[in-house]
Amino acid sequence: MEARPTASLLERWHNGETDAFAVLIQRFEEPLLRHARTLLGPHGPIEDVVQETFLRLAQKPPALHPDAHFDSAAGHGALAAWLHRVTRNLCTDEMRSTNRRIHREQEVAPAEAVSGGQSQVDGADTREAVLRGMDQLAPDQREVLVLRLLEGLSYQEIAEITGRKKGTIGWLLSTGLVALSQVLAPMLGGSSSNQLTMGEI
Amino acid sequence: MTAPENHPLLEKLTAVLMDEADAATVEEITQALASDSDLAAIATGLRATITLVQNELGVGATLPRGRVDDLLTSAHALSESRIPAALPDSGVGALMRAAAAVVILSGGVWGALQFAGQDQVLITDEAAQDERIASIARANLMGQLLYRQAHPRQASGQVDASVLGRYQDLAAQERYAIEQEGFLKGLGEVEEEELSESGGPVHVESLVRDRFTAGVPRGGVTVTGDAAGLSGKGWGNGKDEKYGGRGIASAPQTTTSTPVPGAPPGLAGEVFLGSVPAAKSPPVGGGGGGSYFGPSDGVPPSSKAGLLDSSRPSLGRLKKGQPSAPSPNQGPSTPAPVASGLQALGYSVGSTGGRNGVKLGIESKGAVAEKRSQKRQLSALKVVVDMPVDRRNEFGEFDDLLVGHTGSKEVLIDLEIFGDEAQPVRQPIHLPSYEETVNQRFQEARRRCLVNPQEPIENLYQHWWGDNSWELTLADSQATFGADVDTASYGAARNKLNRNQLPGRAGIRTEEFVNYFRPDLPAPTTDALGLSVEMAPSLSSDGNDRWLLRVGVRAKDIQAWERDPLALVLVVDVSGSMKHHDRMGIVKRAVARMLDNLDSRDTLAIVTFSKEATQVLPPTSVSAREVILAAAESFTPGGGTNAALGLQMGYELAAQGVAPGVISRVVLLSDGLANTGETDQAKILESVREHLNAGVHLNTLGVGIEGHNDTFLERLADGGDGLCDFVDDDRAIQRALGERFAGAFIPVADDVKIQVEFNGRQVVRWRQLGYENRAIADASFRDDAVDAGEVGAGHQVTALFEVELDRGLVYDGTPLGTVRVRWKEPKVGGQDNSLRTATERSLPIMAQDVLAHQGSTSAGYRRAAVTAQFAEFLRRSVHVRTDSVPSLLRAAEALLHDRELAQDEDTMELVGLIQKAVSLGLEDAQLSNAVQAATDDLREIEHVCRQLDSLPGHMNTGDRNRLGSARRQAQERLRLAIEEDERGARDAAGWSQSGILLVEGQEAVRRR
Repeated sequence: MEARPTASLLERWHNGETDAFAVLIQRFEEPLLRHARTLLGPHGPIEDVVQETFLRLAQKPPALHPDAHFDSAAGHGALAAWLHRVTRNLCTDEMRSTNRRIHREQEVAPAEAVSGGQSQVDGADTREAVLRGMDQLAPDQREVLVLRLLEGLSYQEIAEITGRKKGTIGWLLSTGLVALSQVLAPMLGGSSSNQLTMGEI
Repeated sequence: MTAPENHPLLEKLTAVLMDEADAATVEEITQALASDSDLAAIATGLRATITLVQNELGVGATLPRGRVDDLLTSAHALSESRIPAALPDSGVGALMRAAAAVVILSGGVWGALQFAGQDQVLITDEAAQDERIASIARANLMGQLLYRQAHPRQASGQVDASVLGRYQDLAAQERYAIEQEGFLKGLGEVEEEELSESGGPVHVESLVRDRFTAGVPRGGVTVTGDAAGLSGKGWGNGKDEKYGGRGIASAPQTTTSTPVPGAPPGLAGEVFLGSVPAAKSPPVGGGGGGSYFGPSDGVPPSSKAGLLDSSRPSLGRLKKGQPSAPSPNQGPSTPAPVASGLQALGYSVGSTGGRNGVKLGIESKGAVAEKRSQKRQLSALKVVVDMPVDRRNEFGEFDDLLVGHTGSKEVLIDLEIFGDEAQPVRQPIHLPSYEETVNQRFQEARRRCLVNPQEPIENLYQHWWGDNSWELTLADSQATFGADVDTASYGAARNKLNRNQLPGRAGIRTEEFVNYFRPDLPAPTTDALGLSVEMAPSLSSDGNDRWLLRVGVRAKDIQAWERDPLALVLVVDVSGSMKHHDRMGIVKRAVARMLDNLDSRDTLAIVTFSKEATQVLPPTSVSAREVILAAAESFTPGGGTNAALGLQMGYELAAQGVAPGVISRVVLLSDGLANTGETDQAKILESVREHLNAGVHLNTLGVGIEGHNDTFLERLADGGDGLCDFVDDDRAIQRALGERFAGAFIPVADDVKIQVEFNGRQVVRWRQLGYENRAIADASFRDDAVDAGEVGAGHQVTALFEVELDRGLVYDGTPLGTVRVRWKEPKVGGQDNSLRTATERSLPIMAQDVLAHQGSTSAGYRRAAVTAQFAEFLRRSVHVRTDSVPSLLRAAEALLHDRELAQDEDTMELVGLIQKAVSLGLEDAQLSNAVQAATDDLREIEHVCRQLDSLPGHMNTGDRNRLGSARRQAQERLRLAIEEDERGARDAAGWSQSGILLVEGQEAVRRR
């Protein structure tokens, strides 16, 4: 299944292969959920948004560049960019609601309140701690971090999805990373000297 | 140590870690890491962070199984039918249906935008790019042309009402003339006919023929008579005040009636009253019975007559206008003594109670053989007074008028006299021939489509269609206009619709519709105004790919505690009309609502006006709330409307309150000043502007239900840099003086000008929706002496543009355009306002920023799009002629599928109003007449030609030929439409193609 180029999946689904759509969902649900989470927070309607994104894909798929059907990497990238864009727009819509904003602020507040206690976290809670650390970043920093570190998108692709300049992406990423490294400093301590001696970039 | 986030190499370091750096940067960072321990420490921290994030968060969530199943079911249904079948009804079913509906709406437009265009050649040479866009513009215009050729505007088949009306008018006159001839001829013929039917001779019992003229120098009615062949009882001889007319039995003589006050001079004509006995009532000799000797017995053929006919059904054939062939046996009919039957006794022309009329006296004489109790039936009584053509009038026919067996009766017939000069016109009417008329109409119609090369294109468009035109970006790239936050047009239209009437097109201002809704954009925190843009495929279904750009200007919010103190003077209309529809109650509740937003810092004064102006309350601190409310309770309406006096007194009071740091405003509450004369309006406006310069603003509040005319109130508020609002119920009060209070009374920016400049290299054409009367010359944008609108706290100004993009759009990072807003600090009382400096902000319209799928736009955007199209339909705008009301309705109802909008009462109301308008017959803005439609098509082609001429470069021969043939075809269609219209109008009015009136399918033969 993984071998099938993404763009051809879309085409095959068009031609009546319903399984192809399931593969598309599998391939993209994770990154899209993560993307939505960066914008809406852990308790936001992220599943709604991603479901809506896929529904739109089914309803009115994007017109992909003809090459996309032959070059699997380009095809995947173009479709991914489209999906991320739609997800992002839906999230923006969601965030525009005042209620939602207030709701979200209330969600974030307790995380900040307990951040001082992070030195106590043990291994099992690491994931939670990282998530909370992420939540303390500005949403645009968080979004760029997720798209780069977890989805592996290039600066250029992120710029296209978020509508920002490439330079802005670099800046958001570096400041976001620094901020996150400071929040997570207690958990990084052990390994830091180790890596320093390795001296590699 | 430098704080990590401030390290100068941080960004480059990140780029290197992210594998996004070029070789030079990698080299630079590698060296820096070796020498800069701070940077090395940062690098370590970042790497660790990256690893941690990737390890911990890399395993992500998936959609719950149920949702995936739902999705697959929907997708399956979609791939089967391409139309969403019933979606599975699960917990999220409703959400999915909503999403589906929104997506369906977006139609097939999305595919047109290719993020990765096919000709991704970046053209850097500007001239080449201009030429490229010019050729795209040409292609688009040619496309528009070809589209129009393939889809001519549709119109219902109705004939041109004005042409039809004219023909019907002439036909009525002609029929009348024919009828009169027919009557006279017919009288002779009746004898023949009756002869054959009843087997006995028929006698015309009596015929009154009199000539009268009115308007003799003494102003009375002069009746001259030569009561030919008549005899019978006289009805006075002019002394009889009752009729004051001509006594019939008398010998020819002249009688002058009493003066007729209302009768115009120059009235002249003849009256004929005819009576024919019932066929089966044999004439019996009797005193005074006159005889009529048939048409050749000296009745002039051109004279007109009326018929008094007592013999149903024997005269059934003598119907209105029915022509009769001349009787072969015409000659003097047998004079027979008439003793029974009806007789017209006399008549008078006079005027009572403002009604002109003819009064007839009828006498019925029983025959010896008849029973006295028998009633005669006057059927088809018809009286015609002949007057010159332009005054001709016909009087009603009386059916089944019963007259006693013997005795007399009066019939009073209204006579409408109009015109004031007699014209001796008696010519039969001939229309010009069909061919001749078609030719003439065609030439005329074509002339109306000709373009004066001196006239600016946009004037042409305004002149023809009354809407903003499509502008070619290469020819005009800027739209400049003043901010408008008024919403009165929406309120007035809603009011009309709620009373089950479609609002008239003149009162619809698209921008006021769009600006009615509560702000949906985030308020700026530093500047007074903030900008935003959003763009998605347009709802328009014209043949081109169109996008709708929303430009939002949001004013900052000001909390009650931050604002400056207010000195308000209410100028309240207490004229007689305010008595109705609880208008006074609305005013009182409005005052109370206003007080809720005021506090002890503020003062309020009240002036009322009707015929005079009265100071009801001097400037009073709002802490004395009870005093103010008591003053409002004292309003008692009655008398005239002298707004000028009221405003003058209001301004005098306001002038006392002008002080630095105090917002001074006059608020005019009225149910409309429409009846204020033009000169007065100009004077009032002038004084409003003068006082504004002294720092006193003017707000107007339209109060009431019917007859509310906001045009002048709006102009006043414009002049006073204030807001015009409209209140007709408690909800509107709450909105205008509760929610919008800060916006209406606390200004944050003045002379707010907005300019949108489109990039001629990417945007081919654009048009602005609304703001027709807010346009400012492009060059005046930075001219701070040019006045523009004021924007209050919390307001949002929305402007919409439809644009056509270059389809091969290359996202090279240059913006589609730039939005600019420029404003000054609000005017402040007691200060030199000329020194205020202007602030300008701009925002590039970046394609990747704003272009969105229609379904992924913000809720506010979608609502604005629907609202604007609704307004354009109500305006019958030329731009929605190809759109359909049902699709507007679907788009409106789809708004409620949005979770946020579904709970917004304004959106619900909007959808309700659109549904209401549709139920009241809001139709597609098609033209009602095929000639108009064809004219419009030709105009559109001429307009396209003008636009093509304005483009740089040249048209190729093929295009030129196509253009020529399109024009010829459009002209041909216009000619065909005119031909059909002319045929239809002639048929409907009863004219033959050669210009002769058809009577019941045959050409009427008229004696000349």
